[in-house]
Formats: sequence, structure tokens, C-alpha cells
Amino acid sequence: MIRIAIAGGIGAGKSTVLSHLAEKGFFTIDADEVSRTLYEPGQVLFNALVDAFGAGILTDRRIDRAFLARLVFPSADNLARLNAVTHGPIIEEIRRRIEESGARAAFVALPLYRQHHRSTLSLDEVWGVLASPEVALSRLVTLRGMALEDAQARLATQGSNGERAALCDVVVWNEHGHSELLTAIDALLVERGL
Amino acid sequence: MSEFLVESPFRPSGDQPRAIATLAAGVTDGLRYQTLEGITGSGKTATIAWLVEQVQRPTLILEPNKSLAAQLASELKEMLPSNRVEFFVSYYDYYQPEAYIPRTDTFIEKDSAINEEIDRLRHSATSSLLLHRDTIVVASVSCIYGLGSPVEYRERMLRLEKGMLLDQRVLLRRLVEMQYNRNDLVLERGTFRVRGDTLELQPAYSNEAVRLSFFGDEVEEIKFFNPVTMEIKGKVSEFTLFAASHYATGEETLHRACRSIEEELQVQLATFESQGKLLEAQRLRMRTEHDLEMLAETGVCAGVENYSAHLDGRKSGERPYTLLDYFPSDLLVVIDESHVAVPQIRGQYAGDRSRKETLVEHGFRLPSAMDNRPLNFDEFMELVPQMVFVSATPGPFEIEHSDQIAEQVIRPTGLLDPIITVVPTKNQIDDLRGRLNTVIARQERAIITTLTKRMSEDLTNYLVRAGYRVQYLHSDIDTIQRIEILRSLRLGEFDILVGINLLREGLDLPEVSLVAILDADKEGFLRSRSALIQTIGRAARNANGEAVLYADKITPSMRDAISVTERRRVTQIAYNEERGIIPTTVTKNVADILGRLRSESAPEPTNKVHGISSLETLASDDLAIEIGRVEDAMLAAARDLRFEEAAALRDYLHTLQLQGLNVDDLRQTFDA
Repeated sequence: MIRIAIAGGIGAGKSTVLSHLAEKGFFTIDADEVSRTLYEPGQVLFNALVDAFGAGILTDRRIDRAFLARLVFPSADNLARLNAVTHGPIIEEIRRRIEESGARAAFVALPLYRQHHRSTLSLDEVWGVLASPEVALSRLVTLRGMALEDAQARLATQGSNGERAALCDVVVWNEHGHSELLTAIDALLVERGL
Repeated sequence: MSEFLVESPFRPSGDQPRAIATLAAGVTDGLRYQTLEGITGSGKTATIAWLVEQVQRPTLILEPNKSLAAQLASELKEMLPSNRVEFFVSYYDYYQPEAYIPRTDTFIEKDSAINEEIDRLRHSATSSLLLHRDTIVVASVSCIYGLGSPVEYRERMLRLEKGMLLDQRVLLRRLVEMQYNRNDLVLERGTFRVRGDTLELQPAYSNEAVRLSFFGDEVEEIKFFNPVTMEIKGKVSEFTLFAASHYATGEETLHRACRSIEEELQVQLATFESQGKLLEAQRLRMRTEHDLEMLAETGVCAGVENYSAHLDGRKSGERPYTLLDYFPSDLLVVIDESHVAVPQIRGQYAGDRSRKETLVEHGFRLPSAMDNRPLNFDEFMELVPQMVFVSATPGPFEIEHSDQIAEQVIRPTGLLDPIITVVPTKNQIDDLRGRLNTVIARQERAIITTLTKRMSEDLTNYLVRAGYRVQYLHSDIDTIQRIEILRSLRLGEFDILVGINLLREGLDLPEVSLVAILDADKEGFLRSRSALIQTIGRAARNANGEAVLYADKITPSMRDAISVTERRRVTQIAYNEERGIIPTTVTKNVADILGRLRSESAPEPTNKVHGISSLETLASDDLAIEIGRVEDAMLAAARDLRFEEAAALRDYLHTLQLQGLNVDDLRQTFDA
């Protein structure tokens, strides 16, 4: 089995790549989606988060992710505290799903890719999908309907493309629209005989 | 007619233009309630001035205390130099209202020291309102208390013109009716003197005196002069004089009032006698008859305001006239620091009422004295056609009722609201020390707030032993000492300030880059939503500002505080990025801040009834009452964000409860 991570910042185009791969019949996992599932009431992260932060993070008995975002984006300490709670279970769940699938190739979209994921997820390769901050900003605002101010703040907390590229084996730039991005991805698949 | 005109070297910036436009449109469209949610440092005062200029409405601005009112009035005066900016606060430097404590048979007589200057300014406010539309009055809650009838006040108005014919004797009688006293020796505020063909008088609301020169019965000249140096300030061709008292009444009104007081007295005496309350009847007869005599002879008596219902011809239960009645009907009311002021307005009526009921019941006052009272909340709201609330943390009332909320979260300095970090309490002191070291290494300062006095003391001692330069700002420290402590903090003579209430004025220090809140998750008045937001905001004057909340849980209040602060930060960052602004700490001159503080430290009216009684003297019944009283006072103090006082009252409450009684039992005793 070959395991490949799709890394990239917010608004870079990870999900576009992932759904393209899924359409081609590959096994794909979105770490965001995994964490959303685990945040559901009764799931492992739900309990762990309420234990760690208290009922103040709930709205209508569900974890208020918008509030969590407000809590952790500005403060590195808060983010570290949240990650300490959530990382383990999320990685564990991704591993479990990959192993269960028994697929020939698995693709995992990771918004916050770190060097240690290579070993914890037994990754073979990391592909970076990168976009310039301007492009990412316009995507967040036009495609996801985020407020300009929120989008700017979110982007401001992310690392630079240079830092990100340094961690990846392959970098694909997403500056000129879908078809170019997906052509580049297809080329990578062909190179690897997938 | 003059119009409101702002003269300022600055133009609206940041989100001010939008806030002004929104609020002005709201006023013009007739919206009843609006809120300006604005953070400290965003220029709220200037926004108010520009708003008034836009809408051209006579405006009443209500501030929760005298010092804030004084500060705002002087800032507005600077921005609106050609308009009338008036100041209307209680004229008591020291005030103890009359009260009666039946249990100990103690009558506390009204005791007050009237501040002459403030009295003058009050008269200046009412006279401006009747003469000029371009008037702003900055007032304390005093503006909802009874004031003489504006109709009478207007009728007592005297217009003097050069060349008019006026019999001197008629004029003198008018002046006496207007409560001006003749004093041929010394010319003071509210007096006049006559020397041959010259009449000199000093209006109750002016520092200058007026000289009228007569030629026979003709007013030949009207001159203003300085009553001390006698220097002539200028000539005018006409001049309007207002009464020297807000309770000045005409002979006819006075006559009618005396008759109805007499009638009420008879009714009340009959009631007392039928109840066998002979002592009360005797007491009431003596006092009222004395007052009636004074009224008939001089037109006033001590405590004349207690007869205001008779003087105004109001029916029992009808609301009193207040400053609001001196405004035209299209006035605009701005309630500043509304999270404090709204509960304050709400609280006035009940407190006044219970005190008066006791006085009436025991024959110290006629029942109509209860009609000399502050407006209740509903009356106030009904009287005001349009209102704008201003606060960094609007309270539930404002949020619920406002038709629209304008936000003002951008500081011209580009400074951001602080980053908030939530840290578990395990090893919190080690964490705190790490953060303190960072702050001290940057030569900045930290403030730490604790929940209890004990914790403050322990923490201070611990930090001192660990070699930190720390000071504990506790409630026994008076204003002057507090200023000294803040001064040494700013100068870097020490680095860390520990205390319970860090929301008091003067704590906006640019050097402070760390605010640490211990026990942030202990829900209660010290850790409520608005207390947290305001405390966190103490770190917003420094570019490195950070607030650390030590808490194992995120409470709903913390959550709100974090959300609000972060939302503001995001807006501020976006604004800065758009304009390429790099936030820089404002380096305010140390002396400036302290100078301002010093002038603010003028004594506030004190109310001894809220003092803490000595424990030994309390029997068990009294204890129950005392506990109820302390509880109320504590909640009131907390509502007004006077946390140190609230905390002191809370600790006192615990002591009382330890006396072998628990609160619930007491409540039952109370209700029964």
C-alpha cells in the first residue's frame, strides 16, 4: 500500500484535489472530515474536549467549532493545548480507516501537516498544494463565503508557503484554476504508476 | 440661531465615520434605542460630538459618576467651542439624606455641603436650555431627580432690554420673587444691591455680575463686570435673568401650595390620631407648621423639595419634574458606560422610596414627600423619545432593546485587543512566573487579578519572596496613594501589580502588556462577561498585549469574553493590514495621566447608610436585616463594577453568616 499526504494551507485547493482522486476511484480521507466526525456528541474528541475546556465550548450541546477557532487562532498556547487533546485521536482514527480499507493507494488531506506525521501515519510521500495568499484569500471569500476580515485573520495565522514547501516531497501550485491543478496531479499519478 | 459645530483638527477615522452615519441615520429615522458598542481608545467622545453635529438635537449625556461627567464635559467643550456644553450633577460635596431608623429611634437629619460652583453650573444648564437650542448637558444620575417646574422657571424669567421702562420698585419685587436676596454690602451669587440709580446683581448661574444703570425709570445701560475686581467685561443691549432657585414660585402658586399642604396635614394628623400615634402626630404638626410659616414668609424653607408636589400642583403618584422637562421635546439622550448607568438609573427609585416610607410612617414628613423622588425606570424611558447607549460591553437591556448597534472597535493607534490564552490551573504559578519573566525582560509591566483578598496577599508575598518587584493594590488604599502606586508602576519602580478590582479609572497604562486573571472560571460578579471583557481590555494599550485566563474550564462568561475580544481583534488586524498600520504603544507622558487623575479625585457624594456596622451591636433580628442589606449592597456594588467594595461586602457577609445563622433561614425570617 502506498500512502500519500496532501498538505496545504486553508484555501489552497486540497479538497479539489481530494475529490478528483476520489472520482478516479482512489481511497481518500480528509482529516478535517475525520475531526468533524470525532467532534460529534458521544465521540471520543467530544468527551476529551469537554473534559479539557468545559461546557463553555458547547452551543446547543454540540462543540462550537467557530468558537474553538476564535480561541486557538490568535494564541499559540491555546492552539497547542487543543492540539495536545485532538491530534492523537485524529491520527489514530485516520490510521484505523486506512488499514481497514485495504486499498492499494490511500490519500490523506492534512491541513496542518507536520514532519512527525510521516512516521505516525507511515506516509510514503507528501504532496504540497500551494496557492499565493492573494489567491487563497479570494477563494475563501468567493467560494466559502467567509467574511474578508475573518479570512485575512485565518491566513495570517498560517505558516508561509516557503515553510510548507520545505516539508513536502512534491509541490503543486494552484494559481491558474482547476484544470491546470488537476493535470499536474494526474501527471504525478502517472509518474508513480497509479 | 446657532448650530452645533465641531471644531477639531481631526476628522472621523477608522470605523468612526460608519458609526456616526449609522447612528445619525437612526436618530433621523426616529429609532428609539440605539447602541454604540465602542472600545476604550476608539474615540467614542468624538463620535458623540460628531453625531450631535449631524443631527442638531439638544442632547443630554448621562454619565455614571461625577468624574466621568466632568471629563466628558471638558472634552466636548473643546470640540464644540461655540456651543453650550453644560454640566449638571448633584451639588452635594457631601450628602447624607434624611432618614429614620425606628429600631434605635434615630433620626438622621439631612446633612449636606453644597458646592457653590456646581450649583451655579446647574443653573447655567437650565438657563441655557431655555435660551439656546445648541445645548448639550452632561449629567450624572442627578438628572432624574426632582427639580422645580420648568413652567414656573420660565415664568420667573426676566428679560431686560436697554431703553425699556421699568419701575425700580417693581423690579425689586420681581427679583425677590425670583429668590434673589438684597444685600447692599456684599455682592454674591444670587444677590443684588441697589445704589441710587444703579442696580447690581449676580445671577445664580454666572461668575459675572450685571450692572443696570437707570435714568429715571428707563434702563439706560446693561454692563457685565467681574464682581471681585469690578472690571467691566462688556456692554449688552439685552439680557435674560433666571430665578436663583429652581423652586422659585409666584405668590399665587405659593398661596395655593400652602393651602394644600395645610389640607394634607389635617388629613394625616387625623389618620395618626385615629391610630393612636400621638407622638407621630405631634412631630408632624410641629415640623409642617414651621415649614408653612417659612414658606409663607420667605417663599422657601429647609427641605422645600419635599413639598414639590404641592408647589408644582402635582397629584399624588404623579412623576416629578426633572431636568428632562427643561429640554425641548426632540431631545436626544446618550447614556454613556450604559452597562453601569442603566442599572444605576433602575436602582434610584426603590432606594429613595423605602427611605421616605419610613419617614412618612413616623411623622417626619407628609405622605406627599414621597412624590419628591427620582423618576422610576419606566417613567424615565417613557420621557425620553430617543436614546443612544454607549459602552464597550453593553448590558442585556441595551442589547435586547436596541433597534441597531453600531460598532466602533478600531483604535487610531492601530493597537489590538490582546491575545487571550487559557491556561489550566495545574502549575499555574510556574506558568505565571514564566510569563512574568518574559514581560519583565521586555521592560513592560504586568497586572494580576485574584478573586479574594487572601489570594492577593498570599500571591504578593510569594512573588516578593521569589524576588519580584510587586505591589498589592487593596481597597484600603486611598486615591492619593493609588495615584502614587500607579505612578511608580509606570516609572518602573516595580513591575507587577496585584489586586482584586483592576477596573478602576487610571489603570489604562500603556506599559502593561500582561493581564493575568486567576480563577477565571469561577463564575460570579468578579468573573462575569463584562468584568472579564473590561479586565482583558487592560492589556489593549500595549502592542505586545496578552491576557492569560487561568482556568480549567471555559465558562459561558469566558466564552463570550473570548469571542467578543477575538472578533474585535480580527477587525482591527484587517483594518491595520488594509492601511499598512503597524500598532505602536502610545508613550504617554507619566505626568499627564496622573495630572488628570488627580483632578478626578474630587470627593464623591458619600452615603453613610451603606457603611459597615460594627458586629457586636447586632442582635439576631438585626443580623437578619443587616445580612439582607449587605447582600443588596454587594449586588448593587457588583452591578456598578465596584468590585473591591463588593468583595469587601461579600467577606463581611460571610462573617455575618458565621454568626450561627444561615442565609436561607434569614430570608424566611425576612419574608415573614
